Amino acid sequence: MRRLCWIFPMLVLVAAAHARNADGVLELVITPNNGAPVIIGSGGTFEATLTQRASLRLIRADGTALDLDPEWTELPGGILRATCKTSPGLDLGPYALEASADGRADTNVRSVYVSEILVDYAIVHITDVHIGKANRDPAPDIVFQRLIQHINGVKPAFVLISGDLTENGEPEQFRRFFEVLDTCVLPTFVCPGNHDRQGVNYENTFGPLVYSIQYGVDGYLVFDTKDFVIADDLDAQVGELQRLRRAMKPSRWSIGMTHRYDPSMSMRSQLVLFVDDPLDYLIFGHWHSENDYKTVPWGTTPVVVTPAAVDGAWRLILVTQAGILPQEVQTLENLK
Amino acid sequence: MISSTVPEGGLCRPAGAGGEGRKTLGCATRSAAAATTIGFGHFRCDTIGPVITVILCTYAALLGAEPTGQIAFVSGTEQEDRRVEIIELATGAVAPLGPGDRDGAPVWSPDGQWLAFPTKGPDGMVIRIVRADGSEARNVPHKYAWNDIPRWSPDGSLVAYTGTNGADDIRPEDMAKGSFIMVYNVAGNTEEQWGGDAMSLYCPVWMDAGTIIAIGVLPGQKRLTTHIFFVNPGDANPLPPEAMPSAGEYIEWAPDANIKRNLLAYDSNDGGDREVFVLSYKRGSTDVSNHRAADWNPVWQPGGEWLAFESFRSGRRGVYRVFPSTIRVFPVAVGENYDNWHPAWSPDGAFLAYVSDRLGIPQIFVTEIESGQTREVTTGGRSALSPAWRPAP
Repeated sequence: MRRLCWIFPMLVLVAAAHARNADGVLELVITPNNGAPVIIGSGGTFEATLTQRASLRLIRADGTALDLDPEWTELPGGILRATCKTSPGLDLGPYALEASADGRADTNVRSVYVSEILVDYAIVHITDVHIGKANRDPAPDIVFQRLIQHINGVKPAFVLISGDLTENGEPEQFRRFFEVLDTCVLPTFVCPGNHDRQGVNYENTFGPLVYSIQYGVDGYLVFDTKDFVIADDLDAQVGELQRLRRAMKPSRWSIGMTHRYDPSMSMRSQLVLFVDDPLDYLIFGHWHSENDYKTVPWGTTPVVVTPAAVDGAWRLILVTQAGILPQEVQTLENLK
Repeated sequence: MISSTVPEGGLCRPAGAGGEGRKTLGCATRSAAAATTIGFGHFRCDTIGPVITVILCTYAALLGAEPTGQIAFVSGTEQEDRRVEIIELATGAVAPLGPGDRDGAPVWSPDGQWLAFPTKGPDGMVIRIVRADGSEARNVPHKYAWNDIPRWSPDGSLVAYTGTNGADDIRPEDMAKGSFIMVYNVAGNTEEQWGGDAMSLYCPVWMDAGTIIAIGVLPGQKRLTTHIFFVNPGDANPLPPEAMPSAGEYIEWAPDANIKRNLLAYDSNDGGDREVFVLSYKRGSTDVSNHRAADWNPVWQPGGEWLAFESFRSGRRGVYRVFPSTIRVFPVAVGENYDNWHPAWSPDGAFLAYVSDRLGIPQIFVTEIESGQTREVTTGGRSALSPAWRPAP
């Protein structure tokens, strides 16, 4: 019930905030954002990355603001990391992160969630939304909206959306995607899929291609498996994967989310994720169907594949001391 | 563009940080050459007072040898605009060489006249060979759609690489039979499959003109595993078990051959975490990196004495070198909040080129091994990846 109570304030918050540029591109605040938020307990600490030093505030749905006093660290490329400690009495609920610098303000809505961190909890996995896909009736936007409305009532701890958010990776499609996304009352974590890769539009909209989530005792590693030469060994990604995977080792469960598992994916990445320190589970989409194969071939990591959201599919996954328990795939009724 | 000079590891280093076995305390000049230039080539630094040592080492490092020659690399921000280019180190002039659509890591022929690299093909990836001056280029005829990891034979007449159908299927039985060693004859413009098709083979390296070493993928009881194979035109045979660190199901990867000394370096998770091993016919496999953090991607120095590799022992991905005979490891490029990767030796073994994202966008840097003196080689808004130093003519 507590989470359901967020719905109205969330809608007010979304309507009032001046988030991002008009075209949806991130401004001062890169992370957290509505596709890569942070979930902390009351009094918890979170990190933000910004393009420049700024005054930071957390904004509640009712407009009240909490000033933050971050510690700043310079990162390569002129990026700054702000380590923000919140006060122990901070009310539970969603917050926007507002940054002000040089006379301009940037607000990332739905980017900080102060929440009761549960040991056993449920998450929802949806994938392959394909906003902008032509000749669909109903349109992907409508199906996505209905899915989000439905999931708002399911009350998971958070929602994983594993790529192909759009059909062609165009800015307008990303803008339409998070217009619906921001009606979700729960934290939503996204990763790119092969359909989202057009230039750096995804990075401009949601920031890093690789990141990790710590939710209580569990770690989640979100990564990109690019199309064509999939997550190749040339660039920095495999180093990021190794570093984040290593940092997650103390977690009870280490869970990967990507758009696509493919045997031609960078072999070094596969060694990192499935051989040397195997993830406990891997969640992905791309296939628009369920899978017959239960583990990745290089290791024993079980896979969870959910059919496409554009067809109305979603899946509830229980995360418990006994393991993660994927439930049967659900499909929206009466799509037409 | 060689635009700046950044001391990576300081101008002077403790004893041993220079050449393995050298007794010249602190004088980290590679360089006999540099030292001779300023007139103290036969001076032993441990006979000089510390202050003079610092002055001389600083002076020598400032006059340290400049990297010379050419480096091929991949330039581009996204896969769709990645292109093989060549930079002239003396002038900073850059010349494009690849078609510029998903070009992959370039590899020089032993005589430095040709480059081979993967690039986009009609239905996957093809191997493309190009003359260094751009006067001739061709896509290698291919049986399989996806081709990657080209390696030149010692005499430059053949190119071995991996060919697969790129099946979008994760069944272990398919993966254990889905990748093959293909060999391209440059003069005849023909492609031939080596090693048979009984198993998947990856990562070819040449041990001599007629023998390839490759990683063979085997179906295991619970998961795929690998072994190292000798690959000939007709078949593939596993190395004997006593050549490996221990019995059991492990996954070896990234072999690199030291033809001069008949050694093979590779990485493996044998022992729990990923380590770099060196296999010699006399001593079997020896763990030469030995750290609880991951160590991988060994690359032999052209002279065959040192190995460069990547390690996470500092927390971030860094470039290190090891003298395998004594297993002494030295950092080359290590950062607190950035990564360094893909080491490539200069032809004389005095420098290492590598990729670093210390400035945000990955760029190529060069570090002189003995002095630690570091230079940024590439600049600009496009990533520069996968350096390959042109062999000396």
